[in-house]
Amino acid sequence: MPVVKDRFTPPNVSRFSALRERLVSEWRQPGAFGQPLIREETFDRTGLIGLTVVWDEWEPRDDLERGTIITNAYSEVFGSDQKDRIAFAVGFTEPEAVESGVLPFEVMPLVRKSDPPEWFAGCRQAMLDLGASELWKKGYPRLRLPTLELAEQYVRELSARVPGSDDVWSISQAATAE
Amino acid sequence: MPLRLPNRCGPDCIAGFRAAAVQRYRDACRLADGERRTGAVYLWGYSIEMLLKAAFFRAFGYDDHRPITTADLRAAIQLAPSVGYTWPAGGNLHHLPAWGQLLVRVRSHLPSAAYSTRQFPGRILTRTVQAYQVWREMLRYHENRAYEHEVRTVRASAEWFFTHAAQL
Repeated sequence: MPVVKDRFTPPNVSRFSALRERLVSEWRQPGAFGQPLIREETFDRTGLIGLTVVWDEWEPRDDLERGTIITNAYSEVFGSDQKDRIAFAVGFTEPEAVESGVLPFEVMPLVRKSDPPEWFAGCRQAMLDLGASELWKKGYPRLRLPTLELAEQYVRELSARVPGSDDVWSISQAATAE
Repeated sequence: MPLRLPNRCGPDCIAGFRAAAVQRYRDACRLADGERRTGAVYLWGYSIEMLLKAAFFRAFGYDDHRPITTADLRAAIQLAPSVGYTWPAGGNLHHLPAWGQLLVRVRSHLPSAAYSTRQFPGRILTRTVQAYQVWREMLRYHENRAYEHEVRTVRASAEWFFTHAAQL
């Protein structure tokens, strides 16, 4: 029988140190809005931690690289002894996260023809500034979020950024992941 | 008179899911060899779904031949919020990423069931998403032909799940 030898080396994450540093910074000083969106969950019975990072910057990276970057960033912030508590570390782009079912809420503007014309561009820009993804279709940003509370928080911020647009913003819950 | 095919099928169970997953995987390979791409994708998706369900109920303590009923599947959905996941609205029982999420989360939650490496569960989550970007159970109703890259994606995911079935 032939002997097939494989060697597995960890992905070269030094190329992606900028992503790791950005994650570290986000963990140390979390922003109120935008990407990356970090979900850190503790499973009480085991004390293990689940890490999900939604970030369109992941797009060209494979899942191993994403997981390694997340794990390294986490241990840099919280200490290498905490690494063993990580049950899973997964990076999704926003469309992937929607597919996985972890971003069930969508915030979208419903601008009427009678609304000020500058709102069309204003709403779009405000969404992009708050981390909406254009990976579905360039020029058509979509803003998906994990909880209703966070979606409402985003609507308040979007309304503040486009003065007078309070009634324009709507929140919907996806009937199914898309 | 011999029993008809539906009547020869026993109740769903872990052993049945695993055996059927192998058969559907092989059926799909034959279809792909014959350029029946959508049919191949359709069956590979189901083979992944069966492996995920088998792994979930195994993690939950079911033995190989314990019947898995629709009520059991619905109960699994109800369990999801307790491990930090909300099953996509509509309760689609064929939602591969949701089964992946549920499996990984339940194993993270149960003492002695956690995965031995942190990279492996991440791969389960991403592989289910990759497959589900192409596969849906409704494909059977449509004449659309899968692209070659779509066939490769789902096949690679199915192969990955078979390669790692014992660790799921």
